[in-house]
Amino acid sequence: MYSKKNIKHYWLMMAPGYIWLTLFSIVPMFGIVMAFQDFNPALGIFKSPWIGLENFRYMFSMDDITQVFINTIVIAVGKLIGNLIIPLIFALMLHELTIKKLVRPIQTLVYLPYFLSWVILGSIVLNIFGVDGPVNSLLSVFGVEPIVFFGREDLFRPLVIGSDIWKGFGYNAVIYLAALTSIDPSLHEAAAIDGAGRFKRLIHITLPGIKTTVILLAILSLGNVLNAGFDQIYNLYNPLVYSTGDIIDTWVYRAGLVELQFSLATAVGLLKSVVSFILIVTSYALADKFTGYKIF
Amino acid sequence: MVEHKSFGARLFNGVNATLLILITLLCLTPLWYILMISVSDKAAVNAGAVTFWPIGFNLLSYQKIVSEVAFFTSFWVSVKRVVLGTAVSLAAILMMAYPLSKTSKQLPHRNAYMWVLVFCMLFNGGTIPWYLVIRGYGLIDSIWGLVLAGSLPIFNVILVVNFFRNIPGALEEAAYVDGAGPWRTFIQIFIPISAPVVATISLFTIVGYWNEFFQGLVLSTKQSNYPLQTYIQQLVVNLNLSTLDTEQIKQISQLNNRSLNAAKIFIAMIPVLVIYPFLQKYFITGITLGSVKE
Amino acid sequence: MKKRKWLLSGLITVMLMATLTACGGDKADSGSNGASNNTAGNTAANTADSKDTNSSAALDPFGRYEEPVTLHLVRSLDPNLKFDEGKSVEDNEFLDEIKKQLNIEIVYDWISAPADWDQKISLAISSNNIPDAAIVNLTQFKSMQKFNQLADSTDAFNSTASDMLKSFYESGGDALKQLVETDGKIMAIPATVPKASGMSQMWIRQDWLDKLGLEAPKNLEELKKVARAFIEQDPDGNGKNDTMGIVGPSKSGGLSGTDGNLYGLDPLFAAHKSFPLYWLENEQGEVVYGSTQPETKQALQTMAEMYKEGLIDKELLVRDDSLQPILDGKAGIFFGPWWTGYTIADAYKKDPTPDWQAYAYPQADDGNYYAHMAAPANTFVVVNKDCKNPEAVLKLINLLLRDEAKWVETGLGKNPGTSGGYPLFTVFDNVDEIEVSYDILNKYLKGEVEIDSVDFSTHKLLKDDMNAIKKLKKEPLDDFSITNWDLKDSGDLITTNLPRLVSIMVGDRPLATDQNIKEVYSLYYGQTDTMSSRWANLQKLEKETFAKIIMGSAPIDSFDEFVTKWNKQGGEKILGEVAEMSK
Repeated sequence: MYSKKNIKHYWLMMAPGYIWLTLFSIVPMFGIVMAFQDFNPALGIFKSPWIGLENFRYMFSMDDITQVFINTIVIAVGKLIGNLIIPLIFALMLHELTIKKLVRPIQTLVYLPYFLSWVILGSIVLNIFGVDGPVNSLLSVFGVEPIVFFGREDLFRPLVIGSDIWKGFGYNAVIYLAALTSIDPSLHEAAAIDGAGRFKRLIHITLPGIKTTVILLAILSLGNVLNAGFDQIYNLYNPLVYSTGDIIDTWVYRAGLVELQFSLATAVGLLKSVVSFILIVTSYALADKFTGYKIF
Repeated sequence: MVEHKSFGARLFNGVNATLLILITLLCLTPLWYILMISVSDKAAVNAGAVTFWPIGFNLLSYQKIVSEVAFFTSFWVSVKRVVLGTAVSLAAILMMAYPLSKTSKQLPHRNAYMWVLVFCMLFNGGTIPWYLVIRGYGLIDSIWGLVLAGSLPIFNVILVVNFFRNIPGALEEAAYVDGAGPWRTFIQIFIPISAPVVATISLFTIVGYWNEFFQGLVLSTKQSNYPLQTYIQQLVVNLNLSTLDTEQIKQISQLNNRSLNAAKIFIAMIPVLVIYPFLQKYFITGITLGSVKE
Repeated sequence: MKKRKWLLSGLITVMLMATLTACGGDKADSGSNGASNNTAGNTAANTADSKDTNSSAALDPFGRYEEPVTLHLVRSLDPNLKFDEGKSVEDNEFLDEIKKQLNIEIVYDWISAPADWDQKISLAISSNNIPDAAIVNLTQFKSMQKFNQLADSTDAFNSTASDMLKSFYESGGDALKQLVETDGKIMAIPATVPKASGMSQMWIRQDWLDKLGLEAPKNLEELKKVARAFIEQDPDGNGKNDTMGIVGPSKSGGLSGTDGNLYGLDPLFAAHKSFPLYWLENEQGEVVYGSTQPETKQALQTMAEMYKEGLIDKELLVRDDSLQPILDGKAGIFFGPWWTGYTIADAYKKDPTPDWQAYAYPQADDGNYYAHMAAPANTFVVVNKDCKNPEAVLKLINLLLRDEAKWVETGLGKNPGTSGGYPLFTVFDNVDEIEVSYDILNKYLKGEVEIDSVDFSTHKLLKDDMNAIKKLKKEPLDDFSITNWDLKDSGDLITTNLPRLVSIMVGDRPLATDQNIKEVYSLYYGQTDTMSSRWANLQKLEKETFAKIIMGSAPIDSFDEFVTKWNKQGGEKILGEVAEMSK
């Protein structure tokens, strides 16, 4: 049945993808060695002096590095949970919407913020939450004194996470919507005839039907556990919220302003990759063990 | 599907619809804001006075865009990039995903191939080596650089692999019995059945190429080779005035036009708005897989 | 089967590596080829007996090369600039002029918008793909020097810099030499900045003052009073309580700076004789850091009180753009350098009510206005160590300095002018450019000097300024209120010349006329070794502490904690280095 002949064809099919990957992803990976060098462009990667773990040691010798790591992880985890759940809820709501005429316009419009970069969106968000902005105007109706939202340490993380979800949920919901369509409608019909209510069908048919998609996305999103989103934070933060909003990437960026620090940036990139890889491997193994499902 | 409309169901439907409409309005704010800025008087815009209604309504910005050659040059670069890129990416992704969705028995070392993918998704050598390599390939200022340099979107491959894996094996066996080889099975059975996921990754690929601006900047030596988002990005980034000399400050104060920029941003979103509904039907209406579904 | 596959993938890898090394090797080869060609060319020139004439022409500041010389450059170009029909940045009158006069051909390796400039230039540095010459900032310059990418420009400078360029260099004094020279070698050609650009001063709505019957506030107490009046007494007369006192820096700005620092609060610090970010000598003759001094603590306390009372913008350091409330007519006071006139240019067009005037206030207790002064240069022309004709770079600058005024006069390449069309353009200003302009323009208006009697050789834009001011200025000629400019019939001059004229006549008046200004210089404007690894973090500590104290989320005593931490986290070491460097 599975003849060996097929294998050759399989290789042929995979070849373009892997060649592409080799040329543009694997070959540039030699740059990872920069993390262990004091990189000097004039000497190049082959001749720059080796300094072992000095870049990492330097990073961890900074007094604020713990705070920066905590900020990064809290913001990133908040985002990845939010970006997993909110789009799912939205997709389910849209799926249940009975006025079918509205489905397409809603779906088209909610994904618009995704197309604006944070440079543009950043100033819009700051204006919306500004002292004279609409949010404060609304609050003043209820007699609340104007709040300087982006000057508050305690509000910065929720604002960053919230605005990130707002930007992306319409777009992220697309995968769920695609998964929802692959659930056989006859299952719903049969259940409805059996008298199962909307909620029961959600629990017993819809959610199991998209379970694998959710698990897959959850595990893949772990790859971003140290990526809190440079562009967004850079365009929103200020010295008042350093204590809750300064992340690894903004920290490296500021270090680079004083002196061009190529090796440090590479070292940080490597650290992030290693952490992501460990998390993904672990969660892959756990998912396999407990659900018996290999996500890839 | 005939449903009994109880009060609870109707209440749920009403609340659900209302919430969705509110959410939609919330997502419309930035776009509306940009539109208002693009049709408002420049001075009012610079003073930050425009929020939700235009001040000094005019269409000057849209008239001006017509004479902006650079805008249309970049627009065309982006269109070429999206068309070429989507064709190349989609072909590579789908062709790669099909064998990878097989078991280790059918494709020896399948798991190793898969982990190579995951590895490549997570590790990279940083911008500098990447740039040096692309330059070594001679892909600077080339449309192929813009198409290929982003490398293969591995996330999409994994997505498709997962979708393919859920297609019942019986279907494939039936095809083999009919004498179809791997290519025919792939093209005539797997791809049509996977319309939702193909539509999804098409959308991701199109949007990915359309939105990308950093590579456009790094891989182009002049503005006429910039894709549209790179072109827009250079206009809207805030400059730190104190690092500029007086001539530059003078230029910026004379030339910066936020209304015009807003109009460009707005127009740059239109193609996506046009394309989306075409793909949308595949992941909203759902397609009946009928008997093939487990 | 299996084996063959591994073989195959191995083969592919090897091929790839081969291609890669081939690319690399190729480059190295062409490099050495180029070098050998060059030596061959030199020998040819030697044997051709033309060596003497050739090299003396080559080294003469304005000498024309016999054989065309090609320079590879890069450029920052505002994407909104419009060139005349058929002209572009790569093909325009200035490039023709350079070819004609110097026989130099310019090739741009890449061109980017000012917004992307830093990214592009640091990629060029990091990939060791730098042009023959480039304009860079201090960080980039020092990094390139560390990487050994730069040529020693001493010989080229001595032989080929024009007298004017040399005089600019000399005008920067020791502070300038400290920045660009290493062991007596000139590693970059600095673009000197006018002295006025370093000074921050108070800009205030004169029409609001007049309306409320107030005088420009001379000291902190008066400033508080005026700010209070601006907030409470509805100076814009719209019946709404929507005006604010002092606008501060935005989220990307700094509370204080080492330059003109538009929207910074530097004068509020200086009124306490506090100079954050400056290296100073205390009464004991020791080198100290301005930010950690007790005066700074007092200044922060005053600001915290003012913020609490609402006299300073609530959205200080959070705001996206500090210019907005100013143009929106909501703000009455801010601090900025002389060239602020450019940034508020919109105010002249829309509605000529806002009458912004500049003062060297608030003064300190002793009646002096302490103005911190900027580094003598913040942009540098650097030359690649592999550049074959370093003197050609100097010729380009020489020609620009000599002929720019002439080109302005004859209208050569008027759109978009030298700043858009000339290669390696940056503003090389005489240190006193703005003061001289102020003086001569005033005399010219009064009829004390004639346009023909002015020497424009070292002040290239002055002639254009003189012509424009004659057309723009209305009676009374010595009052520069916004209402005394002709905003109705001047057409384009309002966009092209008025911002500069306002900047000079209003923005430079304090520096030119105020006798109470005391200039404060830093002992050191460069970067020490420890700074390169610790400065980013010390800055974070400082910015965070200051912001929190002012905005009330940290008590004033957290300043003492900051000082301890600052010293411990590398500050002490840096102080030692600075003391060493500034000896």
